[in-house]
Amino acid sequence: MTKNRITIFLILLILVAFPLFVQDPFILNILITTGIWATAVWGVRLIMSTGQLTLGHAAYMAIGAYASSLLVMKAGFSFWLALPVSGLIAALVALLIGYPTLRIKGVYFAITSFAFAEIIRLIIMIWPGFLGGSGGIPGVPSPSPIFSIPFTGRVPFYYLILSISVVTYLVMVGIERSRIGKVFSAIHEGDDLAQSVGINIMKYKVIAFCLGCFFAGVSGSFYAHYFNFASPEFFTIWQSVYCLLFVIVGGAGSVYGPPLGSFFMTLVPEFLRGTKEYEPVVYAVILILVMFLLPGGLITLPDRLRRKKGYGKVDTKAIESGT
Amino acid sequence: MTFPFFIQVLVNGLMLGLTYALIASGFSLIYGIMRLLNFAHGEFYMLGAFATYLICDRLGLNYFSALFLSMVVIALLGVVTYYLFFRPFRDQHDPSLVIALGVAMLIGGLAPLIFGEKDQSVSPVFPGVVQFFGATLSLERIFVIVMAIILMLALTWFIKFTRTGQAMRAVAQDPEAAALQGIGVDSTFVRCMAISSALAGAAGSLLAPLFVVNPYLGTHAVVKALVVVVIGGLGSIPGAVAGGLLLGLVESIGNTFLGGATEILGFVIVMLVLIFRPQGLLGHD
Repeated sequence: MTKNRITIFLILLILVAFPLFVQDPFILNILITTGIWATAVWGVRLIMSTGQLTLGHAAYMAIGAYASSLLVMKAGFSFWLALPVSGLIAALVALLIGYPTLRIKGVYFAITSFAFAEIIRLIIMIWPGFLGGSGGIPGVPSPSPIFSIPFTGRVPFYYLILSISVVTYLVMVGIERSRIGKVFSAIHEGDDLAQSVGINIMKYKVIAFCLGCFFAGVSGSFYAHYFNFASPEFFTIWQSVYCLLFVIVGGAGSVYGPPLGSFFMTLVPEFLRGTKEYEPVVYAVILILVMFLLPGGLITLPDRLRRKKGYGKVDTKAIESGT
Repeated sequence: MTFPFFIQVLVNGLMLGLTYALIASGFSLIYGIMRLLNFAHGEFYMLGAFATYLICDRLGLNYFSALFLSMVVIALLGVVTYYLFFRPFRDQHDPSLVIALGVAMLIGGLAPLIFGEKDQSVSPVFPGVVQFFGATLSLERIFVIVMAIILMLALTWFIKFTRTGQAMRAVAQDPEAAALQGIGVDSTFVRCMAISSALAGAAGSLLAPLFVVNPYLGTHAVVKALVVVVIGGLGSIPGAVAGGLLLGLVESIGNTFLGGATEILGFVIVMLVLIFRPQGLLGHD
């Protein structure tokens, strides 16, 4: 536990100090992209923790991105207000969608989330006047200066997404340790049992879904203002699938799975630069390999290696006896 | 709307609906029996179209042998996919869904690298048109309608009256009880994969002469299949037919009035079905 805490503290320290030593925009871009993904993907893991599989997370990123762009460009909002508000808008949409669809058991939620993601993308495509159509919304302004720090270059963006990710992380850890987190895992273990002890499972599923989509919205908002562009191209079904994939590759069992998965999956395509068309194949191969060889995700790799080396000899009896 | 125009819209809707039914019934069969959402199903459809294109265009065989060979090749591919990817995750619900997504990504990602991104076309089998109540209908479309009806009837007959079909229904009801009666669950799943994939291949093959063939057809097809099975009822084959026909007609009518916005109609129906009749039009709990 304490060893774990020291590791987290050290990682955070390195991340905070990182731009002091490395200002290479290419490397910073990888880390910023990781942060964008991690924030959204933590949301997927939260939804999964109540036993629901979402295949439409990119839709809520899209809602965040477009809401934020329109609020800043058409309604004159400051970015700093638009960021949380676009998260809230995504959560509100999730509430409206989640209420009828989370009711139904089984795979229906996964299918509906998939269908809804397509609706959102199609609405963007066929409403060129307001939402920019297939061309998207170009020229989304960078965030306005805060504490007289102007948003030029990568470094301010780096610190902003780092703060967003840390806040998201703290919320996720907080939920996991609180009563709500215990209720979530009870629902995950079996909703009938949870319901029989008087838990309103519907309420908690909706809470998890809305909260997960809030972070997707925030992530989408940052995305639009970082790349100065909101486009339906980014928010396809496959982007939603990627969100799910990053959780599984990183490890759904741990709160550190989503950032690890996001980092790994952002890094890998960089080795294939210039051959973007290989990306889906590479992602698919990684996913399949992880599912066969490391079902707990990359986060369980150190444990695996330690056990193979034989350090875990004492533990095998304990594992066999199930304690 | 004039009467001939109405007929035209109706025939278009019927053709579209029957092909949706063809794609969706294979998808629904797999869910009904294996409890697996096979996201790779759309990719099998795409490969069926490509197989037909390659056999007709490169090997120079006639269209009917291409149709038959495509079905065989895609059925084999379905069986291989089952053994390599689906079988290891057979009894796990969410992992089997994720591995199916992975397979879909793999095939969908490899296809443009292997086949190229260009649109290809297969020359029509039945060129020419017929006049029907003043409407001009292409023979090709009528051929697709007839073939789709034959395939759907064959599937229904197979499931109702053959021993394998009975075994499939038994496994769908209760795999353990079926196994106790001496039904090989694994071999039933293999046959189910083969039939379902062959249907997807047939659908791809039938539509190849009508539309363009490109490596991106798969996603579109699986999205349609999902929409159709939710409307009709997951796991129900009559439901897949009803859902397919409904979606085809709605889209055909929508196309004439709404244009680009038609695509949304299917999803709107899905949301309505889920809110008011979650088990689907013909499904049962």
